[in-house]
Amino acid sequence: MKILVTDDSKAMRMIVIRTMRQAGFDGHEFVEADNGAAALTVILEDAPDLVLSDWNMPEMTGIELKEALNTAGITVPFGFVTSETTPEMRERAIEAGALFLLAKPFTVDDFREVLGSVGVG
Amino acid sequence: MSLQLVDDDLVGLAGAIWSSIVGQEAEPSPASTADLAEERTVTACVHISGGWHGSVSMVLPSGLAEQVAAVMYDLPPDELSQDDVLDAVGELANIAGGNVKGLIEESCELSLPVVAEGTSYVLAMPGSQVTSSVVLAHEGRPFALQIHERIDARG
Repeated sequence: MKILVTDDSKAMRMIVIRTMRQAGFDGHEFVEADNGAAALTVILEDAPDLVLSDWNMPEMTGIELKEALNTAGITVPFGFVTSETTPEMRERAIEAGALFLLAKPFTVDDFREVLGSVGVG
Repeated sequence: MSLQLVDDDLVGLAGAIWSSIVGQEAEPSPASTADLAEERTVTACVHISGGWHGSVSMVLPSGLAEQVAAVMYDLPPDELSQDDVLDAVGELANIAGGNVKGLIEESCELSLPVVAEGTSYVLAMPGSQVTSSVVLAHEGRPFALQIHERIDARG
């Protein structure tokens, strides 16, 4: 499985990938993007099997990315990993078709639980 | 509205960020933010605007910032650039700010982080005052988490 990790913080992208591996998702290929627009390019060119995205990013936010994917008819499984998890944002994320919204700070168990719940293994 | 947040909440938030991101414990410290100002520090700040107006800042001595960044990148400190270190501390402030924003009932926007490093500098936020401030320590090295509220924007 190819997993795209999108976050404007390089440090956070590394932590997400490391935590994914610690959670048992270590047999997958990880690709990275540092904003929503860059992620859109990667999705169009590399067709990842799962997208994990921050919400608040320059150029294009995570929710704008998800909405752009919807407009383009691209249905890649998509989840948010973000420090912002207000009920309003959670509702908007689910309405846009995101599978989950995982809050930072997170634990290895959080990743295992949320990805397991949506059938990623 | 005012943000209902006590220092214990901030200590809990900083501790949770530390254990999750750094993988180690941070304990409340008797040091003050004035103590931090005596050395070279990295300060990262995010702004919240909307139903509540203010900022969340995190201040780390540069040595501690490099140590934390090394853990976050899983690299030796001497292999990190200054940008790597500033990015890492900015992300810590972003996580803190996002969690503080989550405590505000009204709709708000969170800015991207702004990060500075140096000695003897002043972080000026006109119209704001520090409403909560906690200092924790990682292996005896203190760092601070602060809430700055825009008093002139109180509804």
